[in-house]
Amino acid sequence: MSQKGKRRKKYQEIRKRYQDKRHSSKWKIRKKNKQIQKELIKKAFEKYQNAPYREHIAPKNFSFINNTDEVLKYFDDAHTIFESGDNVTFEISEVDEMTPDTLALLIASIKNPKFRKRGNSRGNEPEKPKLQKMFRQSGFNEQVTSSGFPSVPSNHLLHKEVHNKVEPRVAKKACITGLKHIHGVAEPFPPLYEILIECMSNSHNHASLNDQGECRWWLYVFTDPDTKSASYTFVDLGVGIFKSAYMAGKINEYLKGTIAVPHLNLVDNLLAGKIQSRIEKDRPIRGKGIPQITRHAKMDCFSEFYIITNDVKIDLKTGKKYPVAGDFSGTLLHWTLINNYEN
Amino acid sequence: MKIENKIVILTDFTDSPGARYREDGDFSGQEFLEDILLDKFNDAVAGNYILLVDVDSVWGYPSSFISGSFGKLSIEKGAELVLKHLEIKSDNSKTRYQEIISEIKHPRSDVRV
Repeated sequence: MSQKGKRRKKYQEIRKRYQDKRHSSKWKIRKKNKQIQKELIKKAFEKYQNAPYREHIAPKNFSFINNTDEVLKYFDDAHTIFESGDNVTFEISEVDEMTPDTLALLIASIKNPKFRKRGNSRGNEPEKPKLQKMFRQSGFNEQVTSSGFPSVPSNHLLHKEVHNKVEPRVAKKACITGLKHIHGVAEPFPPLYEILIECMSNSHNHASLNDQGECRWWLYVFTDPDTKSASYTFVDLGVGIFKSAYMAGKINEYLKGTIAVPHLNLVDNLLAGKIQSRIEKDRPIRGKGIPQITRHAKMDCFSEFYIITNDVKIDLKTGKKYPVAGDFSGTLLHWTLINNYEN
Repeated sequence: MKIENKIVILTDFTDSPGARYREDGDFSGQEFLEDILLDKFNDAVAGNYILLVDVDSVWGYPSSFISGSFGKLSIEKGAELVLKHLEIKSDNSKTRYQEIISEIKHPRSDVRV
């Protein structure tokens, strides 16, 4: 048989295999399921396309750090509206207080498909000049399809991680942004850099119960011109630290988060690195990231340092921990760097 | 034993070390260990000399990077051998020096709950 004939025969064999597959019941079921899935998605989009927008008024004190319970409820209620099939108008024009951490949480939530379902959102901006300036300079409007609200160039940084990885370059850029604002020059300041990398690493490894790196994170650096300080907010909307923590023994694992073993009681062990990672690979050598963050947080150059995750808020400066009404599905770290340099 | 070779992390690797594994992202501890440190360390052992590692002037050393590089090396080769053939130069920060040495001596985390 000639070469041409051989090639043709091979082609026909491949073609036949493909045709046989296409006629198998498995293929047909899969095809049908795909079609159903497509239809469902289309219907969901159409449903939200025609759904009304419900105005959702933000609390006056729109600060997740300072008014955790109320702000968490605000986001939970927004999620419930989306679940009910309506769209949401985030009405924040009349807020009296708004802190950078809340801005980061707002953008992370709006851009999170699990939070929004397939719904649409719109909103306005604070009327108070200082808050409005912060809002416009934050880069928020560049992350959403906005009309009518201008973005203003600024020294802030709002980063959305798309590759779900640890990004040393972003950490470095975030350090430079804050340090330049405070000191005029940006020389390496290891504690700040190390905190950022450990935040990213924790998010990459622990934010999802399934695969590593499934969860996206956001970083917002707000440089305050009035106080010469820089606040950092790192947020991921994964499952939260406690839900991803591994407890030795099936009973402990089962009781975790219940009245018998509330998350609040696990805080000290968490900060001391005594709670094991859910990831089995190299488990004995893991668990040093949060203790490193905890150590650095005590430094005088950080005027405040909080972790909010699941139903717990931790003040790393004082070591105090507070229960949170509701369950924050995710992890938010917020700290403020001030002009008090030490190394 | 004399110092006969050296690694300057700033120029030989990066000014911004990352996390533990390659899959975590760029400039990981694993990348540093496998691409740079391990071969030079093995040469130092074979040649019976000291390898100097200059850790100064970078943005920082996350604990996961230290654990994924120096800690892993210590687990593979043994703390005694690593401390015999590796010298850490950290003029900018004594704390950093202590952290790396401590990781080599005790690469496994403390007792867990």
